[in-house]
Amino acid sequence: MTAREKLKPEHSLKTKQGHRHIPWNISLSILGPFRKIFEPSQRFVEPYAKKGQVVADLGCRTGYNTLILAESVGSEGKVYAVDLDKKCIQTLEKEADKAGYKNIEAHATSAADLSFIKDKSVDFILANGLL
Amino acid sequence: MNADRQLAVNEMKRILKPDGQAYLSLGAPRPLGYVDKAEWEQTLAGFRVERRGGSFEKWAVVFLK
Repeated sequence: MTAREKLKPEHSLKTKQGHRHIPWNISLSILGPFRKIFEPSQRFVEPYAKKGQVVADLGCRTGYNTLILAESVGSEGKVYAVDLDKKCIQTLEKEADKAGYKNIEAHATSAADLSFIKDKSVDFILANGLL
Repeated sequence: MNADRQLAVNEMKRILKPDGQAYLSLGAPRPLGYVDKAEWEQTLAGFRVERRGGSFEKWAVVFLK
């Protein structure tokens, strides 16, 4: 068994199902401060998400873009946030609660199964880094 | 294309409104990522591409065909 294989699943970059997995704490603490520089929301959120729309953030991690989407669509709109990592989803729910966003529906699941979203119901999908 | 990624793309097509749009991008280029150039092009071929990044920027804004 190689050193990489000995890593616990939660510290591996790949789950048993073959999904890429970045630990939630790395996602939050290391990537967070730099995301405003490398991933400006003006590039892929603000031009597309409008007031009242239904949008989906697939591979949302801890919700950096989800909260921006929630602000953009407003209380009339809705944001589906999807990520495989339960801890990321818990962090997102905590942050959304703290910020007072009631228009976010978060799911810890694979983007390969979005059965909780109706057919032809979403105006904008953000799949940033999902594939 | 990996079966799971194909399912995810299919789900995107299912939930998107006929006039809806999507921003797609890769998590990381190869060898860290899983999607090579051929698979990326195959994914985009299933959509109408409005805008996309250059050779080293694997992102695109797409509509349903």
